[in-house]
Amino acid sequence: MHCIRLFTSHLLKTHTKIVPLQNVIKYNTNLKLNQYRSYVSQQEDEMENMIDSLCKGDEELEKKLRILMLEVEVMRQDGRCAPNSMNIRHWQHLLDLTSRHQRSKYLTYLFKTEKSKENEKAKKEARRKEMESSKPVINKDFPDDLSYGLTHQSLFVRIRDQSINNFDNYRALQAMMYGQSIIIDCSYEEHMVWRETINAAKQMTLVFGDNRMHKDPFNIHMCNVNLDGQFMEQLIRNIPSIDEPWFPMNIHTKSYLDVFPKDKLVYLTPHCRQELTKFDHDAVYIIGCMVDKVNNEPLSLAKAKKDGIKMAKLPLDRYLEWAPGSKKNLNINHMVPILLDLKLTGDWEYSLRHIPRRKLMETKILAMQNKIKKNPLLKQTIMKQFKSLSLKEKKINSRRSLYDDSDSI
Amino acid sequence: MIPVNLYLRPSLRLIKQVSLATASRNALDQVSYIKSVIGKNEYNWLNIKNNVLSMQGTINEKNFEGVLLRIITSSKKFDVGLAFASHLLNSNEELSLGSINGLLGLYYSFGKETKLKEEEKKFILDSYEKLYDKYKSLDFSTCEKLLHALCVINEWEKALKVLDDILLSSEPTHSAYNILIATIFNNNKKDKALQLIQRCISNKRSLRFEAYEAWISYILRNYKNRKVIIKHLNEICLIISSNCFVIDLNTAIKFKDVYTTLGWNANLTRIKKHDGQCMSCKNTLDLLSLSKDEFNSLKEVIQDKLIVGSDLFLKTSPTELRTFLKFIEHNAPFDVVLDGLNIAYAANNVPGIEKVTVLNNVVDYFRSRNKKVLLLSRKHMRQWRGKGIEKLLHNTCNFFTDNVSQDDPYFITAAIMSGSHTDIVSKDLLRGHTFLLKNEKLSRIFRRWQWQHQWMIYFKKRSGLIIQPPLTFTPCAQNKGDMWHLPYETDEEQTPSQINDGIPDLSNWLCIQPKLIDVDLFKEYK
Repeated sequence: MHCIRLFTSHLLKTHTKIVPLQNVIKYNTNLKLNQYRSYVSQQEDEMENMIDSLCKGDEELEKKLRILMLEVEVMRQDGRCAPNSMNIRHWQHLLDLTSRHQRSKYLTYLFKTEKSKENEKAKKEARRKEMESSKPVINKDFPDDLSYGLTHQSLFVRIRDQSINNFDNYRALQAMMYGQSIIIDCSYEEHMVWRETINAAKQMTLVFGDNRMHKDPFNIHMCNVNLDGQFMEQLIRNIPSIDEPWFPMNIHTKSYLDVFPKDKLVYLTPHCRQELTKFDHDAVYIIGCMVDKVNNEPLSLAKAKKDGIKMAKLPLDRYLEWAPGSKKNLNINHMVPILLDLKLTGDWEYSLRHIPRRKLMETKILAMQNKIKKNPLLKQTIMKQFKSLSLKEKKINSRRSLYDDSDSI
Repeated sequence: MIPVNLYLRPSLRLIKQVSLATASRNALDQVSYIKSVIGKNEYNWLNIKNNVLSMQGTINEKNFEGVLLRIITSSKKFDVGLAFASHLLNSNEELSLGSINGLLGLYYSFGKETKLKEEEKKFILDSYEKLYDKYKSLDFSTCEKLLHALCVINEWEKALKVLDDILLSSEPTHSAYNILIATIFNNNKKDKALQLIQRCISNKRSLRFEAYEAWISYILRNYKNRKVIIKHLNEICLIISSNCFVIDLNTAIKFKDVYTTLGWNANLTRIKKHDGQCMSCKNTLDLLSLSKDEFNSLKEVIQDKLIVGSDLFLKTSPTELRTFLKFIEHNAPFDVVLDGLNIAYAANNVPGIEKVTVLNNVVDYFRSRNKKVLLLSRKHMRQWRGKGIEKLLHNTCNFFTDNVSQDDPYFITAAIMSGSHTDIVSKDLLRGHTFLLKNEKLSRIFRRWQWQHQWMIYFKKRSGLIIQPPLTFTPCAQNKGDMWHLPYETDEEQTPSQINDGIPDLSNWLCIQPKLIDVDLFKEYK
């Protein structure tokens, strides 16, 4: 248990620690681009350099880029949200966006990240100054963590992050030999917008971490992977060692139909009507790797229909009271832990604890009660409004308030 | 773990809200300070700048001038603005983009109310030259500001050039189009204005008060004969009706005043829903049924757009589509197509009523009027218990889609493929399907088809089954001889408890018609 806890706190650190040589070189080239990131506005000649390397002599593109640069400068000067400095990747993405609304949203996003970085830096600086004046404190994540070092005595050999990492990878490798297979279908990149792709890559990163930490991990196969796509680019940024030969995950550019026998496959999709009642230890479950915030067509249902494979959905309504307005589609980093626990215990109640609580009715009701309890004025106004309404309007209103609150937690 | 989580999350949200409130309070400090300062009469601009910059917030060295000018303009303190403008212009420093934009915005709002002085006009023209000299092509927000300012000093030719520049990086706003159209009308260039109106409409921007007003005053300025004026005003109404525009309240009042001074009857009124009678003139609106071409254009694309879409498997499967087409071929035409599940669930929250009973009642209603009925639904309906289902299947033609397929596209397609006389029965507003047509003209045709052919079923505890027939008129701007009926919209919200049945608001219409004597003349003429 201790190892796992320690691992969670060091998950991100471990990823950056195993950097193979070729990636170091990649990083260096990145560094060159990042040197534009200063907190004063970029210099003219740097801008010219960037225009050259982005457009490569294409006049149309250069004209557009210059207009966009002017647009950003105007935004900075009349008080709208735009970052003070942008690197070449940001400009490239800005060029790809089609409408001004999209651009302004993206710039606001960049502006906010820049500000939060600035604030973080300032806070760090303040903390450092405080640390200098006060006595060093031993940093413990949990009270029963052991402290290692010269002044601390301990009976046990220190377990380093690297060893934990190796241990987890060992378990994942073991699963690759003997474990049950599970498929993450990565063929939906064309249906996602850029932000969703980035989110999907993040979820995939978490899936890998959650899976190898589990007692009895799955043998994960990523299928239909587009190696040149944005998804893979981001995933490599998240897990730099993913293309190493020893890395404990299978990445196929082929379809799952070419890897597994068709009759074993079961596509898990929230859009079908067949419920999964019992976990089948022989089946190979497929999870679609997509974030469908913008496009909510039943893509995975269509895919399963087209390929002619079995489908199933989780029996969510059988075990949980779902809040109105919450969607029944789950992140892949919720799906995989649910299946992991289900495989081990066969207990639906226990496995479904991974579902975010905000999607459930109980949370919604509690949140509303709490809100009213904390603010008596709110209660009065609500009651006043409620009394003046007819019964029908009351019904409509109370329903609507439930819908309005969805996903705002 | 779970119960703690349960309590934590909502409280976390509250904490977030509280911290948000404090954050926004700080952020507004600078703005409220500026607002308090510009109410006074003495200005030490350097002092104000230093004070603002010393506070926390988003205003910084770079955007101070731009933001200050924007706040001044939006609070309409033009004397303060002009004072700051002269301070900026006399400061011998090169103006930043932000201040140029701010000044242009200021001069535009100021120029709308009073005539600009020569030096201010010169500044607008100078910045037009300078900006183009320096940057060759401009971004959209500078363009918009420049266009508005140029329109205020009647430089419409330059403004047209700027409009083209906006298109390089985005779409012009409603306001840009309308102010430019108005300026061109003010300069008596009707042909140019009409061209621009066409561009504006094809860019999915509707006309607004400014444009209508300028057009009307152009007509009144140039023609004195009553009949000629009416003829030209008719042109405006034609544009409104051919694009199904809904005008705003100000425009409606303007129209009313103009027509009243011309000696016509013009009234703000409402239309009766059940027969389309105007409450003012007692005439009824026409049913603009689809022409053959219009219907055929709909028929050609409907299967492709609604059922097939980007991927046939999303909504159905190839075999199912094939069976469906064969079924239609053998059994068409129908008189009525029922959206089975939609009707069955109309009585969903009325206890004691079986779903099948509702359906059977609806089917009986149409059969007693000698209509051939097609029932479209999903396969699981056949497994419903009770005797009713057998009767239902016996009394109707029926087609059932797979449980994982969508039945809505099928029932719409079946109705349209069966012929132009076929009606549909469903409470669904079909807005998603209208959107899928992805073509302004087609969706307008589809909506008209829907008004003409859609029956709706309601079930209420007291009154029982209500079968609402389709509209007998088309709720769009239309004329009958010289008479016009135009819909307009007010800012008032509709009451939320009203059931939205897809029919536009019928309580705000403008009725224009010649005085009675003229009506008699019109009858003779007829």
